[in-house]
Amino acid sequence: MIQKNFIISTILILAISGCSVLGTKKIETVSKPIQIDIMQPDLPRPVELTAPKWFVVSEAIITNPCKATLSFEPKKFNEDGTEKLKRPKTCDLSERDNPDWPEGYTYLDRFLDEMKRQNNGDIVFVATSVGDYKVMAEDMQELKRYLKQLGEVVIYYRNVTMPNGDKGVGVAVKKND
Amino acid sequence: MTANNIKLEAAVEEQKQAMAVMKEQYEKQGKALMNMSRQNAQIEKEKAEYLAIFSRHNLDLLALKKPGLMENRFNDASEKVMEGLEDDTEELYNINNPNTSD
Repeated sequence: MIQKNFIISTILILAISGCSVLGTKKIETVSKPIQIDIMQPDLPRPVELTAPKWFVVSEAIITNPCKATLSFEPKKFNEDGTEKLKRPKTCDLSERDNPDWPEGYTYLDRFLDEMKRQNNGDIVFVATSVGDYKVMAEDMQELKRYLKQLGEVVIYYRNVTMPNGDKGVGVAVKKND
Repeated sequence: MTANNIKLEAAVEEQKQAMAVMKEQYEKQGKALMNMSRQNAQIEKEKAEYLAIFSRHNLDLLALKKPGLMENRFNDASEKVMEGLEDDTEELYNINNPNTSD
């Protein structure tokens, strides 16, 4: 009976004290920087663009020069050995570079003919003014600026998060002449 | 006592290393930030140079008098802008695949 009480008491003491009577182990905490490997995502594929064709149209007459038929005095020759000819100042319509263009053919006429050709004889086109072309060109430059600067931000984050001093490559700024 | 000293020295050494890494990281970020700012300023400058073309020329008058010339200029410029955008995005894309860049 005494032995039984002793065992029960021991179990109770251990349970209540959380085994602290057996002594404590010191926990050491150490703080040191660790390298976090951040996965670099795949960047979106490059853009594929097609430049639109612009028509600049006014009522200015298109130059329709005479075909070169006159010899120089003395004769001049091209690099390939053929004779170099000069254009007469006046000539018939049939002797001009574009004989199908009537006298006084303007850029507007040529544009309308081109629209007819593209649309089976109908005249249909989307037009813009010079001012609106300018606005569109400015907007395009603004978008380009934003895209490039955003690219630089991506480069920045890559540079500061890539391990072992690896570096990203910046979008090179090319200056067009 | 000796064991405590060893522990203390090790802790100090670890702290020193931590500080060195933090300093290096800070400097790296500073450099990257400065580089980004420089590039951004260059991009702004490039845009301003493009827009200055419009302020230097009277496009209405030029289009009226020389539509053929202006048409070529407009089309060439559009082509360049599109190619520029393609090149820029391709360069950025090639960060992940440096071997594919020419």
